[in-house]
Amino acid sequence: MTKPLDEKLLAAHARDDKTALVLLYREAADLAEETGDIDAACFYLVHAYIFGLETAHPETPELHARLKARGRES
Amino acid sequence: MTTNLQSVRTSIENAQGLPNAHYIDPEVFAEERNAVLFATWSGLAVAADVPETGDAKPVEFLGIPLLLIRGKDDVVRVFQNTCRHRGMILVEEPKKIEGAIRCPYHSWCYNHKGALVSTPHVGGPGNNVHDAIDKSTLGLTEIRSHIWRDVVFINVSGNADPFEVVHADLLNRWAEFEHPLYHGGVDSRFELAVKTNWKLAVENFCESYHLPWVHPGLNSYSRLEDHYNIAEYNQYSGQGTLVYRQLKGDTGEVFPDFPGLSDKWDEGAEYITVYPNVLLGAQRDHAFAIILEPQSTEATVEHIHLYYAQAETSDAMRAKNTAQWKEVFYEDVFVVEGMQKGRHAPKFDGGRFSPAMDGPTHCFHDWVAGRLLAHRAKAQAAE
Repeated sequence: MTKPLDEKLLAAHARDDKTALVLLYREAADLAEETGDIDAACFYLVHAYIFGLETAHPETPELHARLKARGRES
Repeated sequence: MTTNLQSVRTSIENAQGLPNAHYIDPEVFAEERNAVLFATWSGLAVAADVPETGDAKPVEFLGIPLLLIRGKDDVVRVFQNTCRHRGMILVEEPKKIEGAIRCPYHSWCYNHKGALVSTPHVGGPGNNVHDAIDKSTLGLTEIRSHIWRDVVFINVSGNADPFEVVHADLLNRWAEFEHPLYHGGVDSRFELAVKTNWKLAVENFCESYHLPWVHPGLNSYSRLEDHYNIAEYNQYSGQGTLVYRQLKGDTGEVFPDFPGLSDKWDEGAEYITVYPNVLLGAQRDHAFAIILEPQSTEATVEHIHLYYAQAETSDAMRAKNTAQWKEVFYEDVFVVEGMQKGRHAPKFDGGRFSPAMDGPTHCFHDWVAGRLLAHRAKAQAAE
């Protein structure tokens, strides 16, 4: 994860901005996936998905599908 | 401690009231909690506490953390407010659940119907599945509930007869009032914290004997002889009036009536306790529900809610009505607190009943005693 993204994530956690957390964790997952680190990508996807579930974020079905495709969600 | 209840369960002419221990002994309070409050249909809250879909409100009932939630399907449900993972409290403050209920500890997520929908990292980092975790068996624990007249009744034990069966006679008695009730909103709810055992609030509500002495303001239009006792043994009790007078505004306006009522209710009204802890008032133009929250042996909170026949009513009229009822209910506080203090006199024997006036009170004592005796018999049979 890049330092700016890490800082944005920490700031979003600090202000409890869950909508931002969905998008920032998805971004972190995308970056990890690009480097081929699937475990790290799934770790971040889990967080994006969970905050998506909590907030009924429109991207939640897509996040669910990505995890399910990796065998990480039912 | 096992109290002697035979003197309660006899004819009103000979009966004594429940012994002191039923009001001041924590051990008996715990027995009544199981035998009376958990085993039957007790009032917990009102559906108006969660008016919109997704609204969730944590509530405690006799130490049990519960969650009242109105699902996306508009159904109000009651769950244990406890995560199935590590037992963490799920919701600490009233809030809107937009999507899932997320446990603040390890983020296990539940939907509005209580189903477990995700268990993050349960199979290791980045993996939400594990063979040992069957989500279909780990939903939130639902507490059986039933809504009547907007009151959310719960049966903690889960094995009482259905609410409609237990209260069939009462539902039939008030069938004319089976119309939508509209909570008056924030100006139509208030609470009274009283230093009394919850049963004394029931007892005082059920009887009209005290009205001329404690509520002298009623005498000008609502005399003792204009009231009648309601005492349906093993079911419910209360009182009725034959001279209900509608509240009038400055220009003579009144609240709209509930539709289709018979003439009986032109000047009639009834005030009935749905045993064990819900006090209801039914009148032509408004209703009320008081949920008694037994906090401890000698502390009770009365949650009072006023309802109307239409969603829109006059702000000024509602304020006037709330003020009127507040005055009446405040007038009762010294009575229920005084009776509580009186029960610390060791030689008080439960008291005697007026066969003419105290039928509703004896009916309630008899019901409580009956529940306790059945509970004791069951416990003994299991030994």
